[in-house]
Amino acid sequence: MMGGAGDHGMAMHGFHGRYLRVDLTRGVMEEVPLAPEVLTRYLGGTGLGCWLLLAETRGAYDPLAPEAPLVLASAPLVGTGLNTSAKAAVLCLSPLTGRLNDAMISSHIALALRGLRADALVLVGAAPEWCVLRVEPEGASLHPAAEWRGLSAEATESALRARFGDDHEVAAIGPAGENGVPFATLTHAGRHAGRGGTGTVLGSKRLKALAVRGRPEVRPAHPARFEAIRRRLQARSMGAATEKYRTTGTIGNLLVFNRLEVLPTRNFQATSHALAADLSAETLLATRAVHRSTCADCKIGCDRRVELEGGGQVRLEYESLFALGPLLDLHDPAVVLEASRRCDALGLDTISTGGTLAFAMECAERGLARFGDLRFGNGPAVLDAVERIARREGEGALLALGTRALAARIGQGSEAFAAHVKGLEMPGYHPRGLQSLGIGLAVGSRGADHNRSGAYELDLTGAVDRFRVDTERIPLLIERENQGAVMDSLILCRFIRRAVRDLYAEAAEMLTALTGHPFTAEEIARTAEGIQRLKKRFNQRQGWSEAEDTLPARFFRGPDGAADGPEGGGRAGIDRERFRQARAEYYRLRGWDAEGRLPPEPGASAAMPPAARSQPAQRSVPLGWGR
Amino acid sequence: MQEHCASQEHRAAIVVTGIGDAWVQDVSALRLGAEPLVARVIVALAPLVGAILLVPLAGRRAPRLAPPLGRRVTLVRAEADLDRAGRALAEAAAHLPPEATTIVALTGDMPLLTPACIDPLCRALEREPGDGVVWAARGEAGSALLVAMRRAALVKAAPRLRQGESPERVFEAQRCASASLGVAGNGHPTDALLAVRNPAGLRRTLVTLGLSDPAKPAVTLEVYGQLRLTTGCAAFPLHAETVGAALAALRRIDPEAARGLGEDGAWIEHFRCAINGQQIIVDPDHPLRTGDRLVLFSAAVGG
Repeated sequence: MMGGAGDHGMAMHGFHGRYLRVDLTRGVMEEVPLAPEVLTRYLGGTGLGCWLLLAETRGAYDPLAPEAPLVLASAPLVGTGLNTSAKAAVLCLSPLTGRLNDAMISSHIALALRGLRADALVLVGAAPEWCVLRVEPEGASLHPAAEWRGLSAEATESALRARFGDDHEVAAIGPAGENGVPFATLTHAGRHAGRGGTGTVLGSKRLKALAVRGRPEVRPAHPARFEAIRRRLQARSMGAATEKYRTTGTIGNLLVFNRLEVLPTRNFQATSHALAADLSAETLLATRAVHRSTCADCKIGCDRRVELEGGGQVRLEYESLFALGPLLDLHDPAVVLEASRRCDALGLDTISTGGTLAFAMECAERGLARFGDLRFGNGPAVLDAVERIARREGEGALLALGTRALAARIGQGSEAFAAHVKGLEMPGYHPRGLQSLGIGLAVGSRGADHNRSGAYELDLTGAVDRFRVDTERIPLLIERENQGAVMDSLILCRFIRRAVRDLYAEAAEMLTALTGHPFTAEEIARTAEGIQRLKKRFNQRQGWSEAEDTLPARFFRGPDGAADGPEGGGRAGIDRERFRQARAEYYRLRGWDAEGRLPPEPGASAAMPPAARSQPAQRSVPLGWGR
Repeated sequence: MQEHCASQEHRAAIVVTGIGDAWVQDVSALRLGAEPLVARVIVALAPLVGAILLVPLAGRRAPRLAPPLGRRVTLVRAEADLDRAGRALAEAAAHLPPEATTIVALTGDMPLLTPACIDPLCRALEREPGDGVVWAARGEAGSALLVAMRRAALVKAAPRLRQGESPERVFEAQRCASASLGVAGNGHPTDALLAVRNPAGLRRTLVTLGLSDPAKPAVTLEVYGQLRLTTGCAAFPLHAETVGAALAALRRIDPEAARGLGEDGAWIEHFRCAINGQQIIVDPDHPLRTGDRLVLFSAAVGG
C-alpha cells in the first residue's frame, strides 16, 4: 500500500506532499515527494503540472516517445465541495503543436484522482501491449485491453465500470487516440480534455483508458471559515454572473457572435453566417429536447445534451457548433449534431477536426488540393471525413495531420489561410473583430486557445476598441492571462470567474482556510507570474521562437494596409505594425527580452527553473497484472 | 358561436401583424388550412369586440381573410412605414371608433388565443378606474414564460402544419403540453396583449412603455439568450434617447424577464450592448439615433 497524507511531513492540509509516477515500461508505480515550497508556489492543476513536466524531463523530447510524461495534476480545492472545483489538469507535450498542452478534465474522475492521496499522477513509459491502467489507493495494475480496442470512450467507460465496479471512474480514448491522430481527446463522462492531443499521448503509451478508484477526504484547516467561503461563492455563482451558462450553456454564444460579426465562417473567410440562427441555442432549445447536465460539485450546469432524431444524445457546446457548422458552411442541425456526435465517439477534438476540414475545403475551392467530395456546405462529405480522419483512411490520413502540417504538405501559399497558432487550430472567435484576443492567441503558450488567454473578454468589455490593437491594453491582457493561470491551478472552472470579485485575495483566503498556510494576495499574484514563466520555459526548451507568436496572414491587413475584403471577412484586418508593437509590449511587461525569451535566473539553467528538480522516489511497487 | 357580451360595442381591438423580428418569415401569415394564423386571433376576438383594426407592418402584406371574417375587420394602412409595433398601435389609435372605451391590442401570431382568455381581461379592466392598463407580459407570474412557450410552440408546430397536419390537432397538442407544465397562470395562454381604457390611455401607455413616442428616436433593442427565451421576442421596437432609456423600457415592458438587468445602471455588471453590432457600449447615457439597433447580450459571453 502506498503512503498517504502526512507520511511525508506535510504540515499543510489540502496537499499530500507527493505525486505518483507510473512507469509503464518498467512496470512500477513510485511515490515521489513534493516539497512544500513547490506546492505553495505552484498550487496544483496547471501550475503544478507545468512544474512536473519540467521536473520529469531534461530537455527537448518527442511527444510520443515512451519517456514523454502525461501529467494529471489535482489541486487543493478539488474535493472540497467548492462550486465547480471538480477538475484536474492534464498536461503533456502536444503531438499536434510540439508545445505545452495544458488541458482540463472534469467531474468524478477529478475527485477520484484526488482520492489517490497524491497531488498528481504522472504516466511515463509505454505498456508492452494495449492495456487499461487501474489505479487505486492501494496500488496500480495493468489489464489487457484487447476487448475494448476500437470502442468509443463512452463505451469503454461503461465496460470498465461494469468490470471494475461503479466506484471506479474512467478516462478513455476512442479510435482516434488508438490510431495516433494528433488531436485525439481524453474523455470522461462525455467531457473531454479536448485540445492538443492528450488522448494521443495516452494512446502512445498503449493505454486505452485509465480507471481510478479513490474518494477524496479533504479536511480544511479552518472548517468554519472554509464553509463560509464555500457558501458565499455558492450564493454569488447562482446569480446573474453565471446566468448564461445556466440557461443556454455555451451554445448561447453562437447567435451573439454572429450578430457581432465574430463568428468564424467558411474557414474564417467571413465573420457571420446568414443561416446561423438554425444552429442557435434559441432555436435548438425551442425545437429539440435538450437536457441540462452538470459536472460533479457544480451547481451551474452549463452542459447541454441534445437528443438526436435517430436516438441517443450529443453533448453540445459552442466550440463544436461553430467548428462543425458555420466554419464548414453548414447550418443543418441534423448534420452538425451528428458530426459532433461522431467526433465524440471517435475521440476527436471538434475544433481541430472542424478547423482542418475547413482548411481542406478552402484548398479544394482554390484548386490547390482535392479531398474527395469535401467542399464547403457538403454535410455528408464531412460526416464521412470525420470517420476517415479517426481511422486515418484514404484522405483521412492527410486530414489527420491537422491544419499546420497539412498546409506544409500542400504549400502553394496555403499557409496564409491555415487558421492555427503554433499548430493549434483557432477557436470560434474571429480575431478581426476581437483584436485583443488576436494578440492573446498569438502569444499563448498553448497556441490558439481562447481559455488560456481569455482576452476576448477585454474586447467585449467596452474598455477597448475591439477592431484595433494597441499597447495600452497589454497590461489588462496579461492580467487576464494570469488570472486564468490561477483559476487553472486552484482549480476553479472558468465559468465561475464573474462570481469572483478579487481573485487573488479570494484565492488567498480560500487557500489559507483550507491549508492553514498563510497565503496572501500578493503571493497568489506572484504565483500567476511564476506559472507563466514555467510555461514559457517549457516551450523555450522545446525550441520556441518569436516567429511562432503570430497569427496566420489571413488575419492581418494586406500589404497596402487596405481593409481586406473576401480574404478575411470584410472586416479590416489587424495592422501588422501595431501587432508587432503590442507583442513587444507583452514581452517587455512579462520581463522577457526583445525576442520574447526568458532572462537567465540565478541558479537556473536554460532548461530548468531553480526548484524544478524531482526528488528521488521514496517507494516503488510493481504494477500488478489483472484480467 | 359564443354570445356577444353586453359591452361589446364599447370594445375595440387592434391586431398588429407581420412582426417579423423574431422570425425569418411572418408567422401570422402562416396558413392553417385555408386561413392564415391571424384568422384564429380574429375568430377569438370577434364575439367580444365591436371593431377590429388590422395593421400590417411595413413590408408585410395584409393577410387575406375569408369574407365572413374579413368583413369584421378594418384594415389600417398608414402613410408612413410602420416598421414597429408601437408606431402601428399609435397609428391605429387614430382610427378607433369614438364609442370604444376598452381597447385590446395584440399581435396576430397567437394561435392559442381564445375568447375565454380575452373576456376576463376586458371585464377586469372595465371594473377599474383610470387607464386600467393591462400588459399581459407583466401580469401574472409565469406570463413571460408563457410567451416563450408560445413562441416555442409555433416553432414546433410550423413543420407539422406545413406537412398538412390538422391545425386543430397540432395546437390542441401544444395546449395540452402547456397545461401539463402548470405555467398557464389563469389557464389562458396570453401573449403580449395590451388592454387600455380609451384611445388617450393607449397613447399614454405606449409612451410609458417606450413603444411609441415621436419625440424620441425609434430604435430596436435586440435581445439574445436568456432574455430572448423568457420574453419570447428577438427584438423590441422602442422609442428611447439613450442606451439606459432603452433598457429601462425593456424593464417596464417585461419586468420579470428583464429582472437580471437590475435597477438603473446595474445592467453594466452582467450585460453588454453593441449599437448595430459594432463597438461595445457600457455608458448608459450613450445617445441613440433613429434606426439604431441595440444588441443586448450577456457579459458572460464566451467559452
